[in-house]
Amino acid sequence: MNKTTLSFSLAAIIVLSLVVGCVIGVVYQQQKDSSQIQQTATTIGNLSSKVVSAVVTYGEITNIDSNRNIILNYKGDTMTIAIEDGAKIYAYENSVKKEVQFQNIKVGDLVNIATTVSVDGQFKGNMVVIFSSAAATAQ
Amino acid sequence: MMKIKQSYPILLICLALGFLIAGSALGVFVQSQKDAPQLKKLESLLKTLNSEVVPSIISYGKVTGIDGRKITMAFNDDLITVKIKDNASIYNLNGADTVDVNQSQINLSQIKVGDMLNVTVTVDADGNFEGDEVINFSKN
Repeated sequence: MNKTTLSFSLAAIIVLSLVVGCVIGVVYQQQKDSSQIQQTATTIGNLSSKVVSAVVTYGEITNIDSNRNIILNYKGDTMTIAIEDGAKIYAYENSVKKEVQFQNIKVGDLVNIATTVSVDGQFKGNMVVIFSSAAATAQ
Repeated sequence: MMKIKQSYPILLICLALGFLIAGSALGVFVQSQKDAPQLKKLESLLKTLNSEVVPSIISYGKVTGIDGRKITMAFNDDLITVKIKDNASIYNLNGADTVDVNQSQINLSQIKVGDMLNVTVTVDADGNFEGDEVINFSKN
């Protein structure tokens, strides 16, 4: 066997081994992750189905951004909810519930938000009830 | 020299095995990186759904199947299956269409296919729905 043939065979063995190994690794990891990925799809599918009428959330608002995303906090747990454009927003004034605007929601408010889960797993708020207004408390 | 030539096949096999193992590790790494966002999404979703911020998840639909404690419900062509917890509260809402509404506690066995239910659910660590409270709106 001359030197060139030997080098070529060596290179071929290295490349082939790497490729075969890579395929084995990918298939192994795919099999390992597939059940969890399937579970993700099923869970999100169930949550975004019409059978789930609402995911009720409750907490204090810690942040509101310009894209109508609200961060809620309750007992140290947090979540982000995107408030839909047509969402109904209510506030209690002297125990009377009245409809208000999105701009009336402030950081520090205690709210109840009825959400749905979109197909990509995001929480969308379609109704906000302000129980305790931070602005009113400050006055 | 003769000894080296004789050990060539063994060296080649070792080399091939080494690169096969390296390739496998590379494949596992590449695929796990690819799957990571999906796995993280489930983890994040379950964490949120099991957090204090989410006191309840409400489902409503018509019973299409009962298998032990697992109830399949449908609403507008969508289906979900909920496993009713052993200690779940199950009520029958009587007179839902009248002023005199009252509810009475019933057993799971009294729920039938075709009943309209409102089930308050939680999501377990694997993403499965578990029923905490069931209200049967159907007239029994």
